[in-house]
Amino acid sequence: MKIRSAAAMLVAGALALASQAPAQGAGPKYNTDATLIYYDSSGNATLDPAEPQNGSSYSHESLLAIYDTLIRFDQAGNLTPGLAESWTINDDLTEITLKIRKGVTFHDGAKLDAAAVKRNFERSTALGKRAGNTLADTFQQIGTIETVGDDTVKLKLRQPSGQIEFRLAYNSGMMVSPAALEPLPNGDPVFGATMKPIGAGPYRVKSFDSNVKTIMTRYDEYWRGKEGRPAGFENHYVPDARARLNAVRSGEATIALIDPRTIADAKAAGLTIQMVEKNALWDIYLNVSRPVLSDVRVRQALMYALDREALADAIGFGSSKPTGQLWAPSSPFYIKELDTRYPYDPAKARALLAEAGYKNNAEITLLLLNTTEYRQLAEALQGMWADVGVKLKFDVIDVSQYTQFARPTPRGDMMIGRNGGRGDAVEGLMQIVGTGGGVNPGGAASPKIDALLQKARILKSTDPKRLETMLELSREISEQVGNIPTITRATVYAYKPGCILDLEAYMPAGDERFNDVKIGPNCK
Amino acid sequence: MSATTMQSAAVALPPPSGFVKRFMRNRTAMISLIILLLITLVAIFAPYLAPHDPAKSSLRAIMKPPNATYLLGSDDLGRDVLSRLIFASRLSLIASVQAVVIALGLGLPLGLIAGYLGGWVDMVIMRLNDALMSFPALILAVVIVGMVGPSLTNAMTAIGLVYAPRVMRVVRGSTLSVRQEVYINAARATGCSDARIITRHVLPNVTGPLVVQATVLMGQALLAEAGLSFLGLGVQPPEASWGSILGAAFPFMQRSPVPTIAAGLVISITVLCFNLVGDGIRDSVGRMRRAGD
Repeated sequence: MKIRSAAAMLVAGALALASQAPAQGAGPKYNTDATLIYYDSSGNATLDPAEPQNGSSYSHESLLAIYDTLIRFDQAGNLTPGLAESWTINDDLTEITLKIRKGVTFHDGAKLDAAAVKRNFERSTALGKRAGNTLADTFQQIGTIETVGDDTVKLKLRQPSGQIEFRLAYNSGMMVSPAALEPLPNGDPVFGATMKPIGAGPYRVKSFDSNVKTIMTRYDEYWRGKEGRPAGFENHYVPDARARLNAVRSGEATIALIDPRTIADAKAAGLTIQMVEKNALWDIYLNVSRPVLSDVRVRQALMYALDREALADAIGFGSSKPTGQLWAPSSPFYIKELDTRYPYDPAKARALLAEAGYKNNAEITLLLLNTTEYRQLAEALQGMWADVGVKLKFDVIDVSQYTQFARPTPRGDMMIGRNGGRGDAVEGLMQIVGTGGGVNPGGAASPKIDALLQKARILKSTDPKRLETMLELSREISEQVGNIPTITRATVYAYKPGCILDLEAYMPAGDERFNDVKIGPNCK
Repeated sequence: MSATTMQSAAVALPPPSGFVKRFMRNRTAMISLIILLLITLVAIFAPYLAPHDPAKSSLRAIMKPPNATYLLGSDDLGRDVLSRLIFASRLSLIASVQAVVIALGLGLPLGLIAGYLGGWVDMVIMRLNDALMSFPALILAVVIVGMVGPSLTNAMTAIGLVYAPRVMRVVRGSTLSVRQEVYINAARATGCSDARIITRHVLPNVTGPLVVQATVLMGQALLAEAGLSFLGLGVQPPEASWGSILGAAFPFMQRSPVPTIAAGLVISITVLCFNLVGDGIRDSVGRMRRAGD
């Protein structure tokens, strides 16, 4: 008996020691007192998920940290439960039922329930076309919003749609506290700057400067827990690439999105470079209603006049590859031959232009976002197109004004965009080449593109016809040159070694989701 | 009004021959003037001097260090830096002239009117002047360009507008002292109109300080143009000015330092020369004043 109890004590003691030893030896895994300071090249005009500028997947770091979504994209882009613990869609795609998670609170202490979700949906519906393109389109598709009990919301759609579940994992599903959604005294719905940014995400807003910075602190009552998260998260909009890199070098920022051109400098400074390959690319959005671009031969000529290999070498610095489509090879929608559909052939480009009636007199205005990165690519395009007799003029604006390509009055004939893709592939195409798309003020390049988009919209994500339709769509877009893809664009981050942990690729957006990023134990 | 002021204002611009002699004796100013003349010649004969087409890019030869083909290396798009700097001298100089002409065109008449007429006219013009001068020049230019859109013409018009108050102050000051002169009263007594008095008697006497101011402004306008173009708010590609070349080269300074240093040096030297020539003119005029005493 004595021996057994002594042995038991020994085992218990050893276990106790074993459980303490690693903790003492390794110290804490993360620094949860530090603030995660991110220097980004995109900003937020306001923190309203319905704000048009917030439709860009490059403006999502702050939004995703503040607002949790009903349905949640996992890192690979699959749909998983979020604030809705489950959801069902009927067979004819006209009804979606959401079961709302219990025990979730907003940053102001308000409870998330079916009524709160309904309030959010009603505000979004009331905004109509003032809201961002995708959000407006989502709520235009929803006919009625019903609550069943306090944890179920039923949406009846005006027409069948396979897209709503994707949308609810995006801005349309970002839930705002009902208290922040009270209509204005004149009865108008709150919108943009008039909406207080109160969500149910892992970080709450402390202060916000439009298109400058968002300062957030950790929300300890977050339903997915607070474990390992830094005490705060700051998202700064710094358009100058070198300033972003220097901020990391000096310790002013914990992590920055850097320009591929500064990779060598960042490495030389001893920083860790994390390159994330995505569906992202340097794309050229077109306004095909402009006279010069309305002719498909001109658009094809522009494709033939691009030396993509040279562009990738000169601009990508090891982070880019030539591409002729919107999808990366890892995507199910990727079609290999589209990458070589328009090889570099200046003679053919000249011939097509001549056929279209242009002989050294085609003039195109490019709406140029004023950063060194866009400017370098724009000047390279200018040189290549000048070789085939196309004069490219620049209309320069600040990056934050990019919506002017389509709104309120379309400006420029084309615009370079660093397209980051969307969680919903159909949605991604719709925005760029579909009529009414956010960066497509001139409508579709062919009626077939719109027809195929409409067809894809009403197919379930699991339906084999969806893949077939998407492939057909990609071929048609390439043939009609609905956009001008140039080179792929990996997202490149720099930080001090060991200071950023758990930064994983987040495929549904152009930039990564910072919600679960941790700071290393020895970093400030 | 002291006797000294009256005399100095009356003989503000010395006879040309004396002025030239004095200026030529100022070695620093002369060397600066020669450098400026050389830069102007380079600008005029740019197509004959530039070894390459400044806009021709070669993406497979980017950021090459200086070599036999590219004497100052190639830039981020594989263009010859030397040829670009040579061609850019045209735009940089023309842009500066444009800004100074606008500054003079606005500042000179308004300064003359304010100084000569005095009273409420002077009051209104000078308060507007003070309001404009209370803004930092470059920031105000950025605001103007931001509103009307970036282009070289817009940028230089903005710079011209921003510098006009400086000209206006100098002209008004000189006019104020000249209008007290006996010969102005005499002209008035003989029935000369205000317009005639201003153009025939006042204007020639404010020319001295004005030339000095214009020379110094040339340097400042060049620097301002470089600043705006550096920020992408001035000249637009494919054309380039020294500032836009500096702006494009700057992100690659560590990898390829020559274009940044070359563009920076050209800007610094030119601005310095304008300032030194301005100083030279001022000193030559000043000696004449003393001689007048």
